[in-house]
Amino acid sequence: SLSLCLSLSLLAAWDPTVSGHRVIQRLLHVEERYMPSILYITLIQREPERREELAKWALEVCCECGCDEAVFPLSVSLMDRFLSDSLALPVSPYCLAAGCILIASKLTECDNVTADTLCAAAEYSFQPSDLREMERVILATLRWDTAAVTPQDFLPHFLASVEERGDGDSEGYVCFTGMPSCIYYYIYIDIIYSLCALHPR
Amino acid sequence: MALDVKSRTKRYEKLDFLGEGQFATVYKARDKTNDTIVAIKKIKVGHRTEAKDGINRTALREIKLLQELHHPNIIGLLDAFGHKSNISLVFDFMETDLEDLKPNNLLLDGNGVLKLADFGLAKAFGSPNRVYTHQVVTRWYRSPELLFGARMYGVGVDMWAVGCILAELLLRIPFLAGDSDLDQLTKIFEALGTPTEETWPGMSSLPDYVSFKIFPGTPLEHIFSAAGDDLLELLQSFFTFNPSTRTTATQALTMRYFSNRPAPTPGPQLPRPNCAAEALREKETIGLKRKLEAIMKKKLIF
Repeated sequence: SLSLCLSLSLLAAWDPTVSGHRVIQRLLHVEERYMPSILYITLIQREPERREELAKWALEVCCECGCDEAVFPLSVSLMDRFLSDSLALPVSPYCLAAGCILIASKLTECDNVTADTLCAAAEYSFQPSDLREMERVILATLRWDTAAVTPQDFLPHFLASVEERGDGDSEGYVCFTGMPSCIYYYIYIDIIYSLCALHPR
Repeated sequence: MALDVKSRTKRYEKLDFLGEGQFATVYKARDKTNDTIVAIKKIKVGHRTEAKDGINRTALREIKLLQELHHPNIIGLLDAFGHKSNISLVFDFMETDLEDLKPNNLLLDGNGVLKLADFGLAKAFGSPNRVYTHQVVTRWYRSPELLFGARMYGVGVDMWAVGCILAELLLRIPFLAGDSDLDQLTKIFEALGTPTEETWPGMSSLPDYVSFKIFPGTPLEHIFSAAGDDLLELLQSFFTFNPSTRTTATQALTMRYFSNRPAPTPGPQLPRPNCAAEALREKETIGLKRKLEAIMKKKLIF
């Protein structure tokens, strides 16, 4: 039910020029580059609760703010990469999550979520100035490299190649293109996005 | 972060003012760590309401894309640093002056290699299914579907812009220089003829569609009288109204124009542009007497 509250937006038409094997190869290559560190993954798997809590909170905020469906996975990816680098939670973990949402929203949405809205969502446990400072800390930590590959990036290409091959079972694939599967992975496992797209729950 | 900015400010020595656009000011600078010349693009802080939400998002998008892209024909981003809502981007320095495809954003390096710059409005290639705003591309290079408010568009908008740039190279002035969106459409249809539902299916259902007077259009060979048949054929393919049948870059490259003689001049043999910044500095250093002499000479010429 959480997934349904994410805004369903008008999508650009399928452009055959930007599809196919070449694009999938490129996505897989980029995915590797933006993977969180092995050490971080090991630590998270040993004690997953804190990350889960933050990811769930981020999802709730994205829903409340009516963010585009691309915002949540991108914010979690940014958060994982930040934590991968610092290996310690900042004083206000929610401010970190909000900072990641702010950046993700600016990168993907026509009308981005405002700093005020995010502070209100966190019941003003931090101020807009704290959030702006956090945004700069995140960007400096990521060396301003904010790209990411998310399961949604793979889905249309996987589906197109399934249709091309004429595998009769494409309906079966279509039913998992919805958000719930991807969201599940983001909260609990995350990490290899192309596999999330291929093997949803 | 404050420390970050301090160390970066020390690292780059500002040499010259290069230019100013709507969103940024560009300086020529020297990177003291390796003694190379770079261009620093300082993004202007938006108005107070924008600064309230932190870093300027156009800059954020541009940096993201430039980090992902590594290509000999795309300007290289060397460094990025910020303080408050200010951001400075450090690029390779290009000899010609400085998200969209227009002649101002096409640069040439010292070896005559073309570089695309300004990705503030660019969209990621690998993820096509995103909501788009139609307020992209400087008006003169904007395709008819964008002018009619299309929110779902593809690489066709860039191919239209390429057509406009090619036309401008031939004419030496902008081909379709509209002063409003409606004027832009009028200029397009006057030159190329008004499209119909037959030549462009779906046109009349675009969000900002308005019906226009039927212009017959001017044959391209009359507008570009010096262009050969192969070049006219290429232009025509860029100026196709229906975006789904407009040529793609890959298709365009297979056209006769690119295989016919003469072959392109190798980059290093291209004529070198006069470096605007050098000229500017020279102007500043010549004395008043020489300035007067120069002005007089000009007057004599006219």
